[in-house]
Amino acid sequence: MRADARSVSSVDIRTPAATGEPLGIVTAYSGLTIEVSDLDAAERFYGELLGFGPGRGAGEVRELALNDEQTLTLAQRDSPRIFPESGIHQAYRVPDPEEIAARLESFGVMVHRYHEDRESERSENRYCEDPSGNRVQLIKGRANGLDHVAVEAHDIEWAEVFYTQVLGARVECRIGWQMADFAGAWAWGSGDDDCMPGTRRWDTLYTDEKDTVPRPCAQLFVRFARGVSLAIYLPNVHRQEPPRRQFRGTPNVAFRVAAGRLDELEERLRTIRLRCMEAAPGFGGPYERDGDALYVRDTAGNFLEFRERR
Amino acid sequence: MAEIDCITHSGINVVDLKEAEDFYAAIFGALITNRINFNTDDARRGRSVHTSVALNDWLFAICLPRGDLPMPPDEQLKGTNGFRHGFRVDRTAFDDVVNRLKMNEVPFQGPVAHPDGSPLGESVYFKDPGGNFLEVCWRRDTVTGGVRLNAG
Repeated sequence: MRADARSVSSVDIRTPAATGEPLGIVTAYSGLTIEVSDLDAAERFYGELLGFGPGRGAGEVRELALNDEQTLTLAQRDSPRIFPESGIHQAYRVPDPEEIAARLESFGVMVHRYHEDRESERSENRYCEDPSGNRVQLIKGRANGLDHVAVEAHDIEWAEVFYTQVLGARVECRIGWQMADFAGAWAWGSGDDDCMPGTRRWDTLYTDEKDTVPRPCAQLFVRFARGVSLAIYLPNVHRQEPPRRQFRGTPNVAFRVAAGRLDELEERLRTIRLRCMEAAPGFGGPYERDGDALYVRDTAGNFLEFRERR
Repeated sequence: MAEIDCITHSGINVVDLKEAEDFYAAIFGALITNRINFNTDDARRGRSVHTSVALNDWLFAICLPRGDLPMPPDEQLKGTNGFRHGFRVDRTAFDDVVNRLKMNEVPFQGPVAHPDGSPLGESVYFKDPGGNFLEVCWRRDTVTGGVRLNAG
């Protein structure tokens, strides 16, 4: 479907920031697909140690229920897209994270207590890695479920424009925009601040002195709805992205869309343009539609999926 | 004598880039032209962390310092914290600036009337969120083309 040229608008970093409450188009996470190198080991980790599941499926994909509304899908790959040195992670709500942390440690899984930059996570800083190297965070909640997902974007400004202006999220907090963030990075640089990998970096200044200084990696938390936030990290390297016209793939973050608003979201994807994004042939925006699902590729090549309630 | 054409740009330290951007956009209608170090390629080149802001023909960078930024007392609205920038507007736009300050709840001193015969008519004095002192004034004399001042 082609958009009427008169209805198309362009947005970029100069577009006045979207303020107020999120548009409410996205209401929840519905699932997450991660890549793993050993499907059986991953299923044991998430099933037996974290308490998710049971797993369903065969072959190279296994789906574990996190709760009645959300799933975790494990996809086996020879070279899984996992970057342990980055800020990418998945945060799960569990009723008793300390019990799980103790269980993990009893099985030889190291649990880290990183310094959290986001105020609301200061006491929820339990991190470990699954057997493939995917970073997992444990957060106290009433029941099992996804709390948030952290992806990376090599241009955090474009990411902000896309997630706020198009998808209707709002900025919840920023790390790396304030003097205190930069002053604080020196503590990490001197070894006195145990921050999560991918949240700080050493920069060699471009000036003649070639000073090397510690700096925070910019982080942006956007909120789609109450309790539904996505973290976006600026990585230290610009990784190879999927082909520009690939809109479905893994890893993948899946969201629930409010009843009756999937067409509205499609319309926004088609008519609110970012010049850094390429439209899918035949759709007129950075997405493909397949029945009741929208498959979207964000500004950094992260795969997103949107559905109304099944 | 140095053959200087003009000021090309200035750099101003602030404590919060976004807060400062919003301030200069709301009070002066400044244009955010670009931000540096919010993409990986900038970071890898070790560029400074700043936002470039255009205010008519003046480009200035709001920057994050490495360490502490000395802040003047909250109640001090006029002075120099290292320096003060003064901006000229025409007589009618002056009232608009004052209204914008009020609407955005920015504390200010003035308008202060300058003595008769002075090239300046009135000024208001205030600070940006980084503690940088600012002045907006209108002039009694004629300024043509934005560059030639005739204080008469």
